[in-house]
Amino acid sequence: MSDATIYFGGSIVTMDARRPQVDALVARDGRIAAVGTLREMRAAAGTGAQSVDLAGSVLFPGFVEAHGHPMLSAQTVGDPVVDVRAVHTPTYAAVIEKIRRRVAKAKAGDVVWFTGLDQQLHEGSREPTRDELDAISGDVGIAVQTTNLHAIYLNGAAVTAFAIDDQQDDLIDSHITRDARGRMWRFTESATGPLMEGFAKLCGQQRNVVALADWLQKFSLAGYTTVCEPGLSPLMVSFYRTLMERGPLPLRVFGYQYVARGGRSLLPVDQGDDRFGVIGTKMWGDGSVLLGNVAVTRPYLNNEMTLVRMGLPKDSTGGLNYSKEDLHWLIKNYAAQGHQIAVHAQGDRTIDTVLDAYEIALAESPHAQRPFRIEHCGLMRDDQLERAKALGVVCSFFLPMFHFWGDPMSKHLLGADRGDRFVPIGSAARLGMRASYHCDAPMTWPDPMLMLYVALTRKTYTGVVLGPEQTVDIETALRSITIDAAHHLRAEDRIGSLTVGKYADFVRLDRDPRAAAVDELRSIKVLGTRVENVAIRV
Amino acid sequence: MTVPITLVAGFLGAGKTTLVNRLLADAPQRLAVLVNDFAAINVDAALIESSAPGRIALTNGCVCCTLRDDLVAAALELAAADPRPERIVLETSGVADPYGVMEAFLTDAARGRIAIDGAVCVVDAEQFPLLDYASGELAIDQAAVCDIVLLNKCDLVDAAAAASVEATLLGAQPAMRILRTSGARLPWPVLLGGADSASRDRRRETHDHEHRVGYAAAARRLEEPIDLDAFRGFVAGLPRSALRAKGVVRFADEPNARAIFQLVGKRSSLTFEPDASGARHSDVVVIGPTPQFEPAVVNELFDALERSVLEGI
Repeated sequence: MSDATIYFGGSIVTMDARRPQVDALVARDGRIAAVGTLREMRAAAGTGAQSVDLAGSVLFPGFVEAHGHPMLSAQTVGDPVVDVRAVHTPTYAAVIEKIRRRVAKAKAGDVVWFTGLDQQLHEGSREPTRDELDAISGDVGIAVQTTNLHAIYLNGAAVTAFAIDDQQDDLIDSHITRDARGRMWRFTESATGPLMEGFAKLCGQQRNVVALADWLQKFSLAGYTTVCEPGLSPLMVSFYRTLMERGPLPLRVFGYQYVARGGRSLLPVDQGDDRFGVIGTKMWGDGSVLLGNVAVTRPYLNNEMTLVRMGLPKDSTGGLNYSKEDLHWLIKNYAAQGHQIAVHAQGDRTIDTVLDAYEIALAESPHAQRPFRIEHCGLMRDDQLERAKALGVVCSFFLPMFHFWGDPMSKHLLGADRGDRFVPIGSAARLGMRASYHCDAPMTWPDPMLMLYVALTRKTYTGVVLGPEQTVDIETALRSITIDAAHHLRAEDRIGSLTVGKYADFVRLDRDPRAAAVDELRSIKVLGTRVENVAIRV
Repeated sequence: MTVPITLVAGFLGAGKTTLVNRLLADAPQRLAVLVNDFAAINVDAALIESSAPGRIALTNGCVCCTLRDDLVAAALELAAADPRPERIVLETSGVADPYGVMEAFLTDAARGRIAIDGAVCVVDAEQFPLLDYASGELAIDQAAVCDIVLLNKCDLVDAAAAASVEATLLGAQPAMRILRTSGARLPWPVLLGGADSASRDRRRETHDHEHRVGYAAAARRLEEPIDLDAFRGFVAGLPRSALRAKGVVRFADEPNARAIFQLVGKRSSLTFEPDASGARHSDVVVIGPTPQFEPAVVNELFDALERSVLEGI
């Protein structure tokens, strides 16, 4: 009895340039055993092979999300976290009312957590002050987190509940803002991590593991067979391990550990068993364009949005999370330990610094795990793309950010010229770079079809086209969520295309995105996936 | 032609189906209705022209269908029927997030064929304060994203209780347009926009002797093209009781176009389309429930708009 399965009866798109499309495919022992004509495959599979008639549907290599956060999404979305995003809670006053209603149901000593404060989208938005939050409750801890997760505001009870010590870590301490009376209040960047960890512990393992399973399912239903989680702590990995004890994950997970004080390794770094592995280190070179804490060469615009709602100084050029020297040292240190490096960098001034550091680290550590990655790349300039290409550094673009926030970024934050080339995927493609596109859940939900649509149209949420010269063709867009994303994860020899010897990781679609009208891309349906031996709805 | 869709949202038991039943009975439009629970639709057997699994056709031209997983596909199918419905009414599940439903209709497949042009949420004035935290928040979120909110079953609570629910709802969405109802009684023009031939200061009463709920309309023809900013000022100045308005407006700055004006509760829009007719006039009608809605107030706003045209502001 053969354990082979023959797939036939539809289009099979391999994303392998040597043989882009075949009639049939044989999977055996979780690997792709053969591709070719149906007759050849029947011979290759032998007697007793199972057959799957694709019935006109389309098989692609499973999609690879180069940058998404299933565990972080699990921690920050869903009960008991209260969603205060502007879609339901339109004004700042309404956010405060929602906080009051939740606090009224809480007991003294509880900590309640709210996510979704949005300087751009909440009417009348501003930063909640420590006094304002303390006035809502003196004994229930309140934490209010921005939509982009890069800032959290606490009241006094929450500061007490999270037992935050002064001076525990210079870097963390530099990201804690105190109010006029010297009380801790605003936590940004590296200071957010310990708070989110603290809240995850309060919520308990069961809640986290169940929510993680839900999120992995979301990625799987969207057609992904691999997701990369950049930014893992030992606690987050423990939730993954607990879930894995209950059964196989519905998709592969590769992660990057959190950068740690003193350049330490928090987790063993290796590819694991290819179902779950921690493959490098993630650092945050800057913050969020939407908070104004990314480093740019040309200042932010000066207007009500930037000066009042976002509280930026006039002609702000933002800033980096690290000094140049510290960032250089960390990158060199982790590269020398054999870690692949991924650095979050949105502003072009940040990207200059990251490229400087990468150049030195790559020269000094010939055995560093390549390619080094830059994450999001919102304001990356053409000369920086060229320099990255020459260094062998790869870019992962956060395309849906452009889609959902492109209008306010262009109009209020950066101006039309920078808005038009935000996430410059067209420039990268013209240079022949192998880019990946990502949804960065929970910032935006996992949605590969949305990315294809945005990559081909440069349409924002309101249907406006910004920067048509930054579109790409469908083949480039598809590579960025399959084989080129696999390249970023150093897994190109195992996933990302339907090539003999690779894992049998597929996604089945009802239509071929290459043949669909652009306007139809978003309505293409994912019929199922298969990861190695585990078929989910295929 | 795009078939307009009215979304009916609200928590379990709030009165959505009652509202849908009333619309089916009252509306002089050919409605196609997508409902959660077919059996709850209270249609007199004599009015049923034909029935099929998951679908019944009524003698007044309306059609009812049960909800499917794929709402958009179901609505597209209804919109393509012959004869074409004049409006689709979509009752969402009691635990649905109407924002998610609205987003689902923003696909390219739906564009130009169907579009949600208004969302109404029913809130149960009696049960709302008794809901647990999570259910209460869901009911609030539902109301916050809709254009008009019916605070229903007001006959079962005293005025102070109704006011307290209103205060909570307004805290969640300061722009919310709330209308107190009992038995989801609401004149259909307030929701669906009324007939096209609106005459000046028309008043009607529905034939409902227990609860006299009526509506009034203020309509005006302006002979000369209007200044866009003056029109925006007019819309912004409309009283909160003006729950529905529509019109065809011609602007001085856009001589070769006309704009379709739509207002449903807190939402309003202007959609420009080419116009080679050479016509210069605009027609606008504003509708609201009586006695809160006073046409005289709107007529004063119309007068001001007319003066701005004459004075060339």
